[in-house]
Amino acid sequence: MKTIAGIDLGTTYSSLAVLNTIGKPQIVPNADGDRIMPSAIYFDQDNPGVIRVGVEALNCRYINPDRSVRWIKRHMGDAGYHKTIDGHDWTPVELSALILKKLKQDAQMELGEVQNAMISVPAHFDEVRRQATMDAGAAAGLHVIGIVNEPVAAALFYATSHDVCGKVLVYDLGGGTFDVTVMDVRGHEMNILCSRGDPQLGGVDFDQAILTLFEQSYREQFKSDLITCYEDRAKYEDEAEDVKKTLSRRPSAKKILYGPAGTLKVEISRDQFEQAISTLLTRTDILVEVALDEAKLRPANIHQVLLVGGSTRIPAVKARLERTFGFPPIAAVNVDECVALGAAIHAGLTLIRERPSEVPAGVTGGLVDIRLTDVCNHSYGTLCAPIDRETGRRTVQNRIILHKNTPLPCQQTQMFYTVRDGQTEIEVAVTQGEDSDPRYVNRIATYKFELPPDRPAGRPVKVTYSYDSNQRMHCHFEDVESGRVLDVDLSLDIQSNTVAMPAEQQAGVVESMEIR
Amino acid sequence: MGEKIQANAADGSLQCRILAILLAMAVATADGGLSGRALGYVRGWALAELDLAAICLHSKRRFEKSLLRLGRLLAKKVPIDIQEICSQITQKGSLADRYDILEFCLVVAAASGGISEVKLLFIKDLSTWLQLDPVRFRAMMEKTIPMEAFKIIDTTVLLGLRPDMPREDALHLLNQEYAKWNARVTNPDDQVRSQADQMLHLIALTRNQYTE
Repeated sequence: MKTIAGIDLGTTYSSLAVLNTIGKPQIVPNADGDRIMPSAIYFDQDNPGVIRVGVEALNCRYINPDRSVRWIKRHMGDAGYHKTIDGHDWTPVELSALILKKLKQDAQMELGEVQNAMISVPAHFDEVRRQATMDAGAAAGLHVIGIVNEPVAAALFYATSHDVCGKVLVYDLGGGTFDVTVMDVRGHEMNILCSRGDPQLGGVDFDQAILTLFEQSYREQFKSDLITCYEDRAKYEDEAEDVKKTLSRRPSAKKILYGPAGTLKVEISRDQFEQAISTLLTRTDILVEVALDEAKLRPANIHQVLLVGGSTRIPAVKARLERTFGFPPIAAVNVDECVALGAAIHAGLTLIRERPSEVPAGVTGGLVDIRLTDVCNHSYGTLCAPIDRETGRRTVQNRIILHKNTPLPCQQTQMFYTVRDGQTEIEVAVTQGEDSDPRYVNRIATYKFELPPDRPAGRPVKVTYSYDSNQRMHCHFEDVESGRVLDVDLSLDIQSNTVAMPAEQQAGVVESMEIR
Repeated sequence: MGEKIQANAADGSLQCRILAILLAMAVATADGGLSGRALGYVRGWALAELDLAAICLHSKRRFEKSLLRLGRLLAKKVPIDIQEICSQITQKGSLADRYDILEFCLVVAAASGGISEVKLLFIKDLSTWLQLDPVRFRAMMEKTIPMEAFKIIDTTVLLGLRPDMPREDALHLLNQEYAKWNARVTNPDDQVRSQADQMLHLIALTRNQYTE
């Protein structure tokens, strides 16, 4: 039997869940017996060709931080980022593939072949990052059946394990990213209303706040720096994480700092910690309000708040949400696991829809068929040069064609006009972003569209963008008079534009490495 | 050079550009000094905008010396009626000219060693006297001046908050600003990303003042 898996590829921790014979999602512990695995990589110096992933990598990074990688998800889709190890430039896709390969490898020890997998991404991830995640899955030898938004996956899990109904807000504060999603759940129908997120806000930022408290205390006592090298930083980052976790259970936490000027015993109270992270938590409050505004709702209209991600264990997070909504949020037994579990459910539902013959009868029978309507997570547009009404000048502007939070599938058309006599081509750009100013949007693809010669300015060009339920975007440019068209499948184009190395080559690199 | 400028002096737009040089030099020296970077920028702008690239080397040097002399005079706080200059520009130039001039002044401000309280006030006055839309002025500031150039945090300029704004309106505006900058945190341009990070932090800090 082919295993159907859901993978939470997290900034700090990752996990893999599968659907069991009766369609119930279950976390598969890794080779160390842990249900979640640190998303950490260490390139073994003594055994070239051996890469350590998981807790072993985390422990090794004090030895040589230069050969270790953490929080790679924050660099996903960043074409300029690479980690050079032994002459090879490791891209975020390859590094993420190593984490995925380790998850797959460990799961296979227990279950046999793991191939079909749904991988989760933050709801706010853009096209480039989504494609990079899919590429990482393929490079790890997985057949990626799709990408699911983390809050959606978590909500699917909650919907099948808790009594979820009405207007629901999913508050997903993970290790490195924050997402807030508002949805309307009615029976087996789940309609996403909107999502907002911050790619640089999560548990690691709270750890940094504690690290700063360590450094301040040490400097006050010894007038000297606590951290003088990368090894120290790696060590104290983990100590800070430990203190953060303790402060979720107890009102204070103690640590001994073995700095270069002497030893200092520090005690950090929960109040101190909450003060240190208050600006970060305010940022989550704002995004909650922005999401509610976009959904045209007020806190009083929300019936349930679901917690996702390890950072929601922080008491101040729960307290703030309770203050905002007037009732306590709902937390699963393990908020770290619900994304992977939900991703497995989504994988099963997707396969039932697309390739039912591949799904065992027990799984099909066991899965509650939840119908999901997602939305466009970003606005997509194109660049044009209209005449500014105020100044009378022609200025380049971004014009949105598909608006953020439009329910999927969707299709929108706008008409544009050529600006010059005898114009024989248009450089058409597909943009992603909310701004009208081109500087503030991402040009995710650019094409040349050839036009017939010898025509006056003002010839109409119809631009149609469509987005299907599988989060695939299609762009259609049509010169109305001549009927010439340019059709673009964006997911394929992003792959060819942004990946420095072809997918097969990346897969080869990952395949050739021994992962422990 | 003088002949050429005089020959075209009837052109209102050209007159505006000449006055713009005076404004830009006043911005550059608002803190009492004159940075080489700012002077270099004004020089380059003037040569391009007044179409002086083709003049002889000797004339170029004379022009540069004049600029420097002007800068020294302004740095010594020689009285100059900026409001009157703006009024002339408003009468002679188009709206597009005025936006160009303000943008030029902003770039010079950024190039002249950061935005102090005095300089910021000066720029705000310029925008008012040139009768420009405050929203476009803010957008221009965002685009032209990096966050780290500000020596003073003015939430009116940076976030559009007014001191007389009711709390609810202020919070709503902060949310809108947050949503705007939040959409920019994944911009491919490092500078935009960095500015977005700093703005998000500033917005959260400002909001805390309203809610705590």
